Amino acid sequence: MDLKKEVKNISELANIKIPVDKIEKFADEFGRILAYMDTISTIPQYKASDTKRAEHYTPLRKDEARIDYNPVRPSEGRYYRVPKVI
Amino acid sequence: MKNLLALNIPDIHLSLKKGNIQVQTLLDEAYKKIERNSLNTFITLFKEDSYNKAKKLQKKIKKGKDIDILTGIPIAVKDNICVEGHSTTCGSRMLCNFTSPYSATVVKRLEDRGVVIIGKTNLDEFAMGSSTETSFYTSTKNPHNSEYVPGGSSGGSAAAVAALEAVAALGSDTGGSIRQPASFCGVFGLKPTYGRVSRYGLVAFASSLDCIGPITHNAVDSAIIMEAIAGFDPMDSTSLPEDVPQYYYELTKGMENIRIGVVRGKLMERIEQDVRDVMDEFTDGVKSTGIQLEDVDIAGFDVCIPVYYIIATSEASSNLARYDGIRYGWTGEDEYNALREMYEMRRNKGFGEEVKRRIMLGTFSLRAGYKDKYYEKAIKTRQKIRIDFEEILKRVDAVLLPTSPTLPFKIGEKITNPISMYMSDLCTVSVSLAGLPAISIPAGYRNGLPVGVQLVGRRLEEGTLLKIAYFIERTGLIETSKK
Repeated sequence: MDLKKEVKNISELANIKIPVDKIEKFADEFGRILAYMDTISTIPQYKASDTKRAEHYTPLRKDEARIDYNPVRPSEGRYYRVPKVI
Repeated sequence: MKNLLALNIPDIHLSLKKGNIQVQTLLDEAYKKIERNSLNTFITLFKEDSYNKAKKLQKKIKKGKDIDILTGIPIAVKDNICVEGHSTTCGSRMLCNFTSPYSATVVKRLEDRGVVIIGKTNLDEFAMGSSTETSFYTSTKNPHNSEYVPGGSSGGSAAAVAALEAVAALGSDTGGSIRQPASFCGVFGLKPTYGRVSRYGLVAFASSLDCIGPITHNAVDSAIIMEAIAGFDPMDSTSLPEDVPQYYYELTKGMENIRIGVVRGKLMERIEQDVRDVMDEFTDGVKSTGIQLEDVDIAGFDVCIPVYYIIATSEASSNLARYDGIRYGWTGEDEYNALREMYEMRRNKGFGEEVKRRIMLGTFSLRAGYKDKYYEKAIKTRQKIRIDFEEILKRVDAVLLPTSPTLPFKIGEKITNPISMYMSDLCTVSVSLAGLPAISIPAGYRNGLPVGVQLVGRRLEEGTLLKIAYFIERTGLIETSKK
């Protein structure tokens, strides 16, 4: 894996601009972290039957539309005012 | 009267009711200590608001009717929990101009009971760290030795309580961020069951793990605050509907037949000798009280750090996508020609190094082609860790293990080595992955620095943990002097 190239690709996906002079340092650190995270590959691949019986799950509320949205930003008619972008 | 803020909540309540002290006196003491200590525990202080509230509460106390036990109690709040009308920075430049449009449910519940919030405490940026050093507002110092970190990410909250700058504080715990700083600062830190306390108004880091809980001087205060903040909230879709027990009232009830599993085996080989010594002494002490102990071995500690970091960073990469400088976030003054360029520049300058590292790690784990290898595998392993804990907790009422694998470390010692910093979470992350409640209680001192141990309980059995902590506290097992 070309780490510098990888860091550039991921930074684009993450919308974070890593300055050119910092890419090498970032790639080096990233490589060491990934090598450590790769210890996950030593874990056996659990079958669904091994993992499905955790006894408690968090109940989720019903997915219902609500009409109590109260915008914080000042509105003009049907529109909300947002900061100037470009 | 000295050290008013070291008294427990029921004693302060009694003194306020008797007229021996006033709410303003408590605030005077808190703010004087904050200024004198210079530990950088707070990012924002609410002096004007808190004195105004104190005046109103004092009048109510004078009238003497329906005075809640929390009336006039000064409490600090971690700066990733919203308090209406005040800034919530998350320790980041990204949110340096953000004002909370509403209060978090936990804040509202405490304020409704008469609590006075004195300010917002320092934290690792977006709660990502184990030392409070990644804060944009510079590191907090450990009250026991200012050359050392207070732990993190709720380092400001734990240090403020330990330094008697507040009676208690709220922290948030994603992988140990309440328990580890509580251990480093020699105070009590309770991470509730996932879903027991509403996170509405908590700035999200990793939504399947984030919890809010109290940091206090003792078990009694933890029970009182926990009772006030816990319970169903329709504003948090993961909030649990179960009724909240009377934790404070039940502290002294039913210690018969309590069994504690003491973690041995592989994990303990990775714990620093000083911490192991304190843990051994503490375990011997617990045994001498008649509590039944048995050895347990928890599998999965070898891989819990990568599993946790893959899940937490994946969720963080999604949660922090909202900081684009338009809907939320720091705008800066740079020139740019395109929308994409603006996002990239603002996010590069608005976030610190550790946050960027984690967003990118999460983006990597979720990327097409890598998702099965990292994220999917981590999710399955998480379930296995959860099942293993549930099996052990069928045999014992609580599991005892160290809170941190090391003593508090020096400021600057680990900040340039991310993996070494991540290892600080060795004893706490598996509990977070399992969604179980855990409390860190002070167990002793080594080299003048506090060492905490952690009790992990069954789902929704915070009451059992508080009861054991209270019992142990009353037996005098908790060392208050430094070695």
